[in-house]
Amino acid sequence: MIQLENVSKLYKTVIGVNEINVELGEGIYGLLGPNGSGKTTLINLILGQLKPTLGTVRLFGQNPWRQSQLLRRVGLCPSLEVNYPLVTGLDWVTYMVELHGFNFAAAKRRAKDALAAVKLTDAMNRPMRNYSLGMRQRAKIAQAIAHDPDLLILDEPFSGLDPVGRHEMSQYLNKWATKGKSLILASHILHEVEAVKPSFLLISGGRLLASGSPAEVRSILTSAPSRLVIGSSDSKQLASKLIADCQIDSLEFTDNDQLIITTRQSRTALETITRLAASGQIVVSEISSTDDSLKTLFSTLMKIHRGELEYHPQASS
Amino acid sequence: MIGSIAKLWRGAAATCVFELRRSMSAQRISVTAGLALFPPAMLSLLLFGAKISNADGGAQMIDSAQFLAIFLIALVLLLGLLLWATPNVYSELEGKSWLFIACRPHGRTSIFLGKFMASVLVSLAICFIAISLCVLVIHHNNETIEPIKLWLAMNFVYLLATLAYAAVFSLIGVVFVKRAMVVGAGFLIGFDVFLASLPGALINRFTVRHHLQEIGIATMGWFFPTPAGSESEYRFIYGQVWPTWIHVTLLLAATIFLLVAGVKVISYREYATSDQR
Repeated sequence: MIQLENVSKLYKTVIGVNEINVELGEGIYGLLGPNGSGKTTLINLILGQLKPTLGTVRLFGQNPWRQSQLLRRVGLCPSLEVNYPLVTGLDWVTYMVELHGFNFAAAKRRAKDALAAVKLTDAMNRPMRNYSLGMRQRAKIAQAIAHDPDLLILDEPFSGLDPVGRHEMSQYLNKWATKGKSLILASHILHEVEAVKPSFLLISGGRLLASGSPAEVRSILTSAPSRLVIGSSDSKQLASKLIADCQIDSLEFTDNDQLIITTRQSRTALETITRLAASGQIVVSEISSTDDSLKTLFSTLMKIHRGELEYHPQASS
Repeated sequence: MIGSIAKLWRGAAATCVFELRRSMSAQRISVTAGLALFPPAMLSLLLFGAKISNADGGAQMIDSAQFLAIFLIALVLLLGLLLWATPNVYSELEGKSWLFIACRPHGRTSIFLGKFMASVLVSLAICFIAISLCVLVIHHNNETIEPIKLWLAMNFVYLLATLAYAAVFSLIGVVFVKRAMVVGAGFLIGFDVFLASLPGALINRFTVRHHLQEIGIATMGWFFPTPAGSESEYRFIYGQVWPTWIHVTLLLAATIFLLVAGVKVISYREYATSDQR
């Protein structure tokens, strides 16, 4: 479905994406990366909106640059906020479908069906200035699916949604996945992408750092060192017990009796702390982790990429 | 081929309708109404001032009412086109709607042609109202003119002017994007006004204004408020007369050429959205 060979994209002197090689068959993919990592650039390259500085891009076997007819098979929901305050959701989606070459009547029928699919029928005749963020997000999905594409590309579809909206979006995407159609879901939030059980593409700093199943990504994540901040009545005793029980990468005492440790065996460390607290040897006032899962994942991947860290999936505990 | 053209036309028409619909804000309607009413209001004030004045200048101004109307309507037409046609791509990039449109098979060409059509329709509406009211004002102050003939001639000239200038500004919009309005204004002042005024220069034949001026002279005699000796002086400066149909054909051909060029540019150019710049 999509092939990228040695693809690099430069914006003058800034690298958008750097030497990306990937071949994606039909399926469900999660494109994960921090903000500014090159996800949107990669999507624009795939859709022929940007021309690669180096390398070749193929979409459905053809070069998407100058092949706008290929876009008939693709539905895109960009991360950008739609801003048509005076236009109704139905009018906007109808217009978007008309740009695929449908006549007005057919476009309006498809727009109504798509808006119904995202549960926006009741509000479709209201001006979009009256829409909540979640409703606008659903309208964006509707314009992407209304022409029945083979490949749906969603860039940060969960952005700005409340928990109910996120759940509904996950449900909808799972339903889409069961239709046998392809999906690329770009996000910087790991667990949201996990909900649709995709194969992962991990991108950071314009480079494709890794790809694989959710289990493989979890394996990388659990092998990454965790940073724990522990407040206790006796930091020194706690430190000596932790050093005895598990492998500690770094250890730091703060002025306010906190102990900060970095370890790949966070589970063992937490068990030791719990045991000491239960036996009354120390009083634990605080345990917190400063790690964000995706941040840790990409930090780990960058270290592996730079050769600063070896990948040991078995080291997790 | 016919299917593709039909789809292209459908997309452009849909864009035109959508553009007009999304512009139905009180602010836009007020600006459009203001542009349409400015020439007759200004003309009325100037002629009223000239009428109550006993000086020679007052009588001359009444004689030149037609020229004043042409100048004022041209001013609002060009201002309206600068506002409507020039930011065709920039407004979508800034409004962050560019990707929604560009990722459709006919999105890029539809946005170019559709916005061109919308700018032409709005500008023609402005011109139609302004011309109609101005002709009434001129006729009220000078009963020697033939109002119907003048009204038809002015509408014809401004139809051609609207098509040609809208095509110029649309092309500028897809080429210069971020500074399109500045370049558009620069084009008008630097190229279309300055070069068209160069005496005897061949280059003034490449300006829109030159051809409009020639059609205007043929249909209304618009640069000759005081006929004695004016035409021979004008011809000495601007060269010999071409038949009107040549000027009309050249303007229409230029419009088509500029639109085709614009379609080519917008189809094959990278436009970075605001989050990528």
